[in-house]
Amino acid sequence: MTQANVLLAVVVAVLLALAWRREKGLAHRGLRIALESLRVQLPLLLVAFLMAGFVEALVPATAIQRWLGAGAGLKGIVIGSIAGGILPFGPYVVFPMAAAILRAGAGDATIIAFTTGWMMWNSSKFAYEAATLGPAFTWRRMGLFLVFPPLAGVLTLLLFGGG
Amino acid sequence: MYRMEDCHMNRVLVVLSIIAAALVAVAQVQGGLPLVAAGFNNAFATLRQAALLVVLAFAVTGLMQVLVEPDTIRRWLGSQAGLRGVLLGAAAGALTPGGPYVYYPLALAIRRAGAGMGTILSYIAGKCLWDVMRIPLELAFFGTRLTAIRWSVTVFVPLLVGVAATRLMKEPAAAGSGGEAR
Repeated sequence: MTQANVLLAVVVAVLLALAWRREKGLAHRGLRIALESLRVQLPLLLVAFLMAGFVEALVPATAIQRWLGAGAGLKGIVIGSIAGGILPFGPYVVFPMAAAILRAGAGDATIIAFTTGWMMWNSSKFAYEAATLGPAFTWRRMGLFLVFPPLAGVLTLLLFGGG
Repeated sequence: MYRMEDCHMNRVLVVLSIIAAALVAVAQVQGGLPLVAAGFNNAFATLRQAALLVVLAFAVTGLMQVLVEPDTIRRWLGSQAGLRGVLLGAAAGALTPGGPYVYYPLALAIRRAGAGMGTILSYIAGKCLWDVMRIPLELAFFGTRLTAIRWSVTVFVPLLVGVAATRLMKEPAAAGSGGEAR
């Protein structure tokens, strides 16, 4: 967490310098946008953290280990991919939930399949995609993307051994 | 566009609040007050750990939005096709800030400007898998080891998807001058 904070603070400083150099007032405008989106998203974040906290407290570790744990293998990968793809939420909701499941004993391959499934199959993007690029495009794009979340899980299993 | 996003957000918030309330109720029934307290404790611990990170992540996204103009990306990628288009598409996806309400209209604009299917697909896959703005969040919630594993097992995907689309996907008739179909 500290590592990520330092890294991110450096990135913020660099971006601020870039914005400040490019145009007067640009940095200010960027920070205004940031503050506004934070204000809009804050209730969502709080509810998401609450949900993740209760999922962690409620779901027995044994159940998570059995279905999604190191021994779950392919079953965990398939369940993880589908669960990630179904969840129509942003990273601030999905990542705390995945981290909670990880702490409760889910395997690496399951978590990788879950996050990749969320990234590539994300159901909440369908509406935007079909509206802009057309439903035919969405179908073909999904056909092309279909294999990758489970593949990412299987690769994790094979290369890093974490079920 | 913003209104659409706000409306979507509100719906999501309502659904999540209902789920959260249900989880609290289930905790109360299953384990009484101690389990409810445990749930709140977990939530509070995550919040305390992630608070600064979240604020910084939002600052990055806001600054990227003013630094990387959608118009620049559109001009950059509009005429790209073939392998070069695939590479540039994935890189542009990685750098595009914001959610689907930002990058799908952008993908359409790139398409209309004449980019090939490989470029569009690698752009979308690049946004999905190489999103640089998400790296700090990944590190924060999953740690260095798991983030490194996630990147190493998916880093090739945007390029593979782009090349596959270049070879397999026919250019839709409606999409203007069409790029690299062969």
